[in-house]
Amino acid sequence: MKFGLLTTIGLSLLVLSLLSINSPIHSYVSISNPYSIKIPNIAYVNARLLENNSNVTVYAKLVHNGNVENIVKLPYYLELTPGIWEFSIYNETFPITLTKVINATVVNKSNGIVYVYEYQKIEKYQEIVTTKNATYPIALEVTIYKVNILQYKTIAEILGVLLLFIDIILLAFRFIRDNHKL
Amino acid sequence: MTIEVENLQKKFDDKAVLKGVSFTVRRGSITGFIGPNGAGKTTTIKILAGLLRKDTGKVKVFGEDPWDNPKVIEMISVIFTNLIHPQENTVGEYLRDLGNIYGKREIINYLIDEFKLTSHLNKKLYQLSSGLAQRVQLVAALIKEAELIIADEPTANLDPSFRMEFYEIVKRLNRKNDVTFFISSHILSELEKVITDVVFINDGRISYTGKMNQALSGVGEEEIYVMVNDSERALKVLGGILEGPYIKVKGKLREIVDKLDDSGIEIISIRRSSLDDAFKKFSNI
Amino acid sequence: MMRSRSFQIFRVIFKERYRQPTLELVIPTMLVSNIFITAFYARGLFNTYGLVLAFIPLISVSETLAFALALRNIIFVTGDHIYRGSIISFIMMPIKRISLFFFTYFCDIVLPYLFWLFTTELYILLSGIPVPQYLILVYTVGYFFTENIILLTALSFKSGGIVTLLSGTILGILFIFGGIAGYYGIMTNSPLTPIATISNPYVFLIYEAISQKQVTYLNVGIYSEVIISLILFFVSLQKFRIMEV
Repeated sequence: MKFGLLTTIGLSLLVLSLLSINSPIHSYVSISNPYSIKIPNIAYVNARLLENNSNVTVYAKLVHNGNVENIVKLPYYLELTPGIWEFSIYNETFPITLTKVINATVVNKSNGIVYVYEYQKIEKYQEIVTTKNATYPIALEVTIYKVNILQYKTIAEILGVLLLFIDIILLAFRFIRDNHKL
Repeated sequence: MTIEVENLQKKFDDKAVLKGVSFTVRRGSITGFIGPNGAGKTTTIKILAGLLRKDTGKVKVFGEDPWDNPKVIEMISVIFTNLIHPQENTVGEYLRDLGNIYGKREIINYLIDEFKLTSHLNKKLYQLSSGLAQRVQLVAALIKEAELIIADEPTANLDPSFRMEFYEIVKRLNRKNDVTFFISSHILSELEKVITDVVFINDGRISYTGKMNQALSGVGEEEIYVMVNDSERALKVLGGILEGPYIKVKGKLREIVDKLDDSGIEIISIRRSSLDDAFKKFSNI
Repeated sequence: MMRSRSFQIFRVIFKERYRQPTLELVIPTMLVSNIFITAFYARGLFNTYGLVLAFIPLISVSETLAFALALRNIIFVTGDHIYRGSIISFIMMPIKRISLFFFTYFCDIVLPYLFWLFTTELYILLSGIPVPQYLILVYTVGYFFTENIILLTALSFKSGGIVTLLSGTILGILFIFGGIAGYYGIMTNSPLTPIATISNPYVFLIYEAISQKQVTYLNVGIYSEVIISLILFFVSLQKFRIMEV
């Protein structure tokens, strides 16, 4: 049977409308400055935001299509819907170790005599610092777990079926014409 | 005049192939174009077909220069020794394509039947024998309804039966359809039975152009070829030399016949000057 | 009557190049192989960088197929006809040589490009991927530039083998060494860098996509290629018109 060009194109369109890339694609991005990613309609994506240092507590700002979605504490997991996502560090909270000098007194009794010693000693203490200027970058792990080949699947399917149908009709005409010639 | 050539010159890589060729071909004639190898026959034919450009001179086919001239190309057909068309095509495809181009779809089936090509339609062109290929070329020329058919060594690869068939078709087309033929060939013995006019070319120049009978009559003292039943006795009577089954002798035809009759020797076959002889004369051989 | 005759001659020329099942294989392959655009796009995290990579010839299957189809048409169909003498059959058709050249050029070179353009634009439309149209433009200009080189080579040398070898060498040198020159030009900020855009603009497109900086002299390559293509086209046309068989 002679298959026509329209049949092969129609079949291709039908195949494309059914296909998708299902093999997960992982990407890691290190974010210190605001980072944006555009998610198309054909993609299904999720993301994880992670702090870089175990002593650090980070809050990140999530903006979607220009609107502030949320300020979230990391680690944070979210589904990235289609549109433009912007990730930035909102604030960073981490303890710092400071030292201070204190006066210490030691009293000692010996043989009825009281000895009083005064000295200075260095004492460490911790303070919690909150800053909007990130010291440590955060990690954005993006997983694209599915990408459809076509956005307009229905149109492709209709077009594919139409082309197949037209080719079958043309095939029938050709068959009738050839038989008529004989 | 169908073809008018005047002082045609052509060089290839500084070597002059045509050194001032002049001749005409009259309408309705079958003109033989004869010359030794390398005389310039194919070059002349290709210039007439618009495949090569002339350097200087005048070339007119149906009154116009054939180079890049669709009007002239429409009226002529060229037959080569081999069928020159992409060989992957089938016979049917080739002829139908020509029919579509010239708007002659109706005539194709008739011609295919007439030339017995029906059973060969699905064969690819490279699968055809030489005889079939020539038949296909002739059909192609007829589809075109060409008024002039130029043939360059058309029978070179054909066996005698196909050669005879080819020339029968030539004569028929010339008689019925008034097609002018311009044929180059080396097989002169067959060509001389068909042509009305002849053009001799030698070393890029025309050595003779005119009617056939004039070409043959001007050959000089005739060489007669006679086949007899008793060659030994005939040699004693006539002299001459034995060439194959023929005795070649120079002289007047009437006298030779009378001598053989008087000696009681039976003449089986007798031949006067031929195109071969004219060829030798006009090619300075 | 005359228009119909020209169409019939065009049909014969077309049929020589696109017998079944050539189109039935080539066009769907071009269409389906565009899934690599989506794959590269996703791999590049939906950045322009991924799209630029997807549109580099030899990486892109459909671009390579279009180029190869045109090369086959020029060298192994038209070239073959000229070398074997069967071009006589076409020259002996009732058509001016210039028309024969245009028909041949259209079938050999323009049609494969149109197949590519049709399948690519259809895919871009249906997939919704925002492919910058300048990628289409860059390939278009480069395609006609390379195919016109091959055409002129085919009309100048009477052997398919020599033409294939010579074309491959010339184009390979232009593309590869042009790319290397472009790379070093960008790295060293050389004033001669714009010249490299003529032979391989893709290095500059990659640089643009990664660095987010516009390479203003990319237009030098595009305009130069257009001018050179036109010159090659007219030289080929003249060669064909005066060709003796």
